[in-house]
Amino acid sequence: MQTSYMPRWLRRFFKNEQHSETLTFFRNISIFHGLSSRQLGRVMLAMQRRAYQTGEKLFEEGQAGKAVFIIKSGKVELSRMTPDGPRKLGILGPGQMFGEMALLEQMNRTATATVVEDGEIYLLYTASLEALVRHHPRIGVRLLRNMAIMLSALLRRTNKELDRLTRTPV
Amino acid sequence: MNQGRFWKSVFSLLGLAVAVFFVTRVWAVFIPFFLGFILAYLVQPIIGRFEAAGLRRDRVVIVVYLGMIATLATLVALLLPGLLREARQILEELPRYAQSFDEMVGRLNADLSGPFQKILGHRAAAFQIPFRAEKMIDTFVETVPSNILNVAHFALWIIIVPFVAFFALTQGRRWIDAIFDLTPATYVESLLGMMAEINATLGAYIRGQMLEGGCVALVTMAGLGLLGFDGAILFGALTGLMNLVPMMAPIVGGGLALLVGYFQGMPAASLFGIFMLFLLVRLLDDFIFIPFVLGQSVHMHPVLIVFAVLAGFELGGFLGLVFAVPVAAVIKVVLSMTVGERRFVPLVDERHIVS
Repeated sequence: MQTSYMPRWLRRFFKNEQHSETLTFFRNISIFHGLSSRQLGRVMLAMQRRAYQTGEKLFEEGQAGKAVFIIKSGKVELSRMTPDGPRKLGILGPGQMFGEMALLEQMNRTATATVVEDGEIYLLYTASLEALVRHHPRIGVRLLRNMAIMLSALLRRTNKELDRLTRTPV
Repeated sequence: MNQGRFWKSVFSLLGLAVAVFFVTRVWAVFIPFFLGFILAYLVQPIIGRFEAAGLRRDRVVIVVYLGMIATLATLVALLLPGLLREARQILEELPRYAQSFDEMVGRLNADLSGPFQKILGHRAAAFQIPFRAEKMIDTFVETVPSNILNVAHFALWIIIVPFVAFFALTQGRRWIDAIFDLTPATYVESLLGMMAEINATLGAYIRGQMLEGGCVALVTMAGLGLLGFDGAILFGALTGLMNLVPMMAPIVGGGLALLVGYFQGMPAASLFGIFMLFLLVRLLDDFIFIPFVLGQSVHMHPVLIVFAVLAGFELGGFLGLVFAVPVAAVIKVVLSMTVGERRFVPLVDERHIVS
């Protein structure tokens, strides 16, 4: 819905100040690049927000993955269990996304996610994304294209890393 | 189990039992609230469109409500006079219809008594059709005071349902956020999954049913009107309403329309026309309205649907009939997500990837 044709006083009466703030936050996340404000607004409605406290586990390694997580504030640690004990993979902060593989194929989680600093996280569930893609194919095409670009970048980085490791003399 | 956990479990179970007892005792009170939430759920996509455009939810709800009231008032102004006229006409004609019906049953009994007597002898009297429409109408008139009370009850619902829906729409998102904040972190993903799956199954079904019912009502109204049936608007609206229950519209709606058409003295060709109209409506429903409007929103076996409808009627009367299929669909989703083990397999075999 376009609001530009509305008189200024009416636009001010209806305008949701918080919406533009949230819109700016999501616009900077790579999976949502290229979406118009209205399209992004629709994606935002499909998401669920939750406040998390330090120590809470978002998911554990081996659990079925069903949703993607986007950190609004706070920090999350990703770790994996090895024969020598848990190994820290990294710490993610505001604006970062994880668990996106669950959107493509419902496989088991390959790491455990634990909140290490209180904050807010957005969740997007696979069925919600599928409904969004079905009803708004343009949004779906853009999201899937962005995901393909992200996975391609990840593959490139993995190849480089593999190349570096194989060249390193033992 | 330590003593603390034991008593906690005992008190939880007691609390649950008291809650179940309370709900079963006053379940009728919950119906308008439940309907209010359903109304909010139906209107939510309209509000969502405006919310996605960056408009304030509470103010949009007020504007949408005003729009809905204006639309409803226009529809009532357009359809109510015709509906009332037809209802009055049918009520006036009801004793005559009942008399004709009883005469028809009498003739049928007389026609059948001969062959029955030949086969069964003196026991043939037990095989008479005992149905008398006049008796039914007398019972209806006797129960008018309680019917008026039901109407008063219904009028109260007209106020409560939109009131509840209004608050559910303005506060809805906050309530859902609160539920998620209270849910333990490890269950959030599962709860979100369940809500999304239920929404995907149910949302399309309920909205589709309303639209499908509207299409059926309009086609029936137009068809009956063209055939010169007195009460086309009333019967069209009733057929659309009955369409909420699987198989009820063609059988009960069509049967009633044929019977009333017969008592109105319609010629045989017109009665055949009514029969063909309901057949056409059924075909349109099966091949156009359901595939294009309803889609495959509820994946349920037909036997399960029939069972759900019968169980719904047994438990909740007419409302049970209407909500049987959606409730069964929700139970199916919940069971498949909690009891049924989902096997996850990779969509692409890693050995087939060449890089």
